[in-house]
Amino acid sequence: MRSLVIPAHMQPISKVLFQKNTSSFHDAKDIASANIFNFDSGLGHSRSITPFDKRMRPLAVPAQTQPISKVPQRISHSQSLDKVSRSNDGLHRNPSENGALTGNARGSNSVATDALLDAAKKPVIPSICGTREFSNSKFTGLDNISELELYRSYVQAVQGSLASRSAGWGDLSASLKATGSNLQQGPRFSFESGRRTSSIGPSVPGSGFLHFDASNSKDRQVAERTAPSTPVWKKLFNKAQQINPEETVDLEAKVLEAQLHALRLTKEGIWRIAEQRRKSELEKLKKKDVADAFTSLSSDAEEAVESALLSQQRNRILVTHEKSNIDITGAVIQCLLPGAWLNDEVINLYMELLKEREVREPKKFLSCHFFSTFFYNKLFKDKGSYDYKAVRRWTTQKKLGYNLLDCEKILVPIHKDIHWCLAVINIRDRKFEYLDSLKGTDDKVLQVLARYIVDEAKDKKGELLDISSWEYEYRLDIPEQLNGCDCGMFMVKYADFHGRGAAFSFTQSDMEYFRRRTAWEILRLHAT
Amino acid sequence: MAGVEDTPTSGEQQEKKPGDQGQHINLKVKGQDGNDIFFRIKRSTQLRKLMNAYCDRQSIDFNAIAFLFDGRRLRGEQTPDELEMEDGDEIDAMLHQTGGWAF
Repeated sequence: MRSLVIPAHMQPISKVLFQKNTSSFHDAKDIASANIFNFDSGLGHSRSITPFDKRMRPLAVPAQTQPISKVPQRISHSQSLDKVSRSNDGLHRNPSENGALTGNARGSNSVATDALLDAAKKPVIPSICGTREFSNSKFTGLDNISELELYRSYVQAVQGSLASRSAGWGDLSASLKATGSNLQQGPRFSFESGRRTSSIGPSVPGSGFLHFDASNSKDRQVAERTAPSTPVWKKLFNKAQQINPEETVDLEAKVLEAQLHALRLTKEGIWRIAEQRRKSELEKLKKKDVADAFTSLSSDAEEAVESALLSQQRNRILVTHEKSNIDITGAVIQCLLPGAWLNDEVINLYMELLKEREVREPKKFLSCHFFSTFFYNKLFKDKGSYDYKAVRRWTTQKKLGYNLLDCEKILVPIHKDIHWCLAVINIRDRKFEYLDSLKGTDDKVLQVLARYIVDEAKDKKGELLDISSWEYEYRLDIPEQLNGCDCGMFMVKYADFHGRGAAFSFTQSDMEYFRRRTAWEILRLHAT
Repeated sequence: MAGVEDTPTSGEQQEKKPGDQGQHINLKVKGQDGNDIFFRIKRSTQLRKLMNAYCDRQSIDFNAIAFLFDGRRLRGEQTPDELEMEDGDEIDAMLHQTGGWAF
């Protein structure tokens, strides 16, 4: 029975119950009443033996009969022989007063109770317990030391409960620990075995603990009635008891209930909450003001765009973006004419401008990384196999000025020979998105990007990124391309609106405007 | 083609003159077809020479290719020194892309 010494709050509940069962068969020899007795003895099991217990333990040893050979253990667990004697006295003297005393409790361990009584009444102790004398009086049976123990334990209990109260939600473990000690300490004051049957330890914190308290106060009244004098320690003891333990326990119970509730939130529950949050975010997205994305161009801007798009000097460099080393010639920008296919240089430059926009106004736009159109070619497409090494150096902190993994979204243009799509590693929402204006799908892209982001986290941060719960989303709720030329423009706008953190509130009919707007933004190297 | 010495894809290096170890750098240009071409170039030489040599060798229009170093576009005026290139570094030669639709 060594394992009984392990405090219950440190054991899985099932284990504790199991031990209770086994011990009950040994102890009570009565299977019918085993359960009730379980709780009784189980409570004892749930406590560790304090030095005090150890000291008191030999008192109980003279249990005379074999069938109750476990009794000493029980007594030692029950902390104080004096209390044992007291409460057992109470049981025998006035059972009616003890309302909660059940037949079970008595029946199950009547043998044990007798043994306890016998043991308790044995006036042996001095050699073990030191100076005191044993008295038959109900209360004076408590010696100074044990009373002090009681008092201390009570203070501890109150402190514990206060701590657990203040701990609240934030510190679950500390609170549980405090509660555990409370449950351990509590019964020291209430040894009316009938009450104890209602408590099965920390597993039912609410009701069980409140019951303790009821018996506590009763016990206290008895103690006060019978106390012959009021020494200083007694005053302190009473004072401490005036802190209404019921209130404390009520709070305790509430906190515990809340904690239980929190613990019951399974993964599913957490997912549900995440889903709700996502929905509310989506609502927010819809409300987000995207008027900026549709402001009409001034007449000057229109003119500039017109002349650039119709430039006769196709090889003339109209604008140069220093940072990305991209030159935009007349020929290049003409891909923004209605009906033309977008090229990599316009897209790459525009992505650069989107990044600059975000750096300029970090509060207005999400932190994104925009990969170049060549990224996916190097990572996978050209070789036809995954090649992390080919792009490992693309995203060093030194080159980017930030850590890729710190971005909320990573946008990857996908060039499919004659078609443009956008893939998004959405770190913020833990998902991979694939946006095809023609609603096509490509499993490979998202798989490759999933592998990439894991490798990137390992390489750049030395972290193991767990993407097992990330979603793979082929977005179908996006504006659809209705012609044979605008996929590049759609792709660019998906990226633009992703950066805004806004819903895609545009359609095919906006594309003509977007082409001119993009041309204007590229010409002045400033996207808004 | 002074300053640029290109070698076949086998990677054979031309005879090195003693003493020029610190001034020259070996660079590899990777094409999208998987073919690599090795170049040996002075650290202070503009990369335009290398780019032109590559395009000549591959018979591609200079304007059809984007050269990338660690994902960044290279300009003809840049030099290995300026880019802090190291011996054996790779340059990616990428064909420009366009697209509007899918079948």
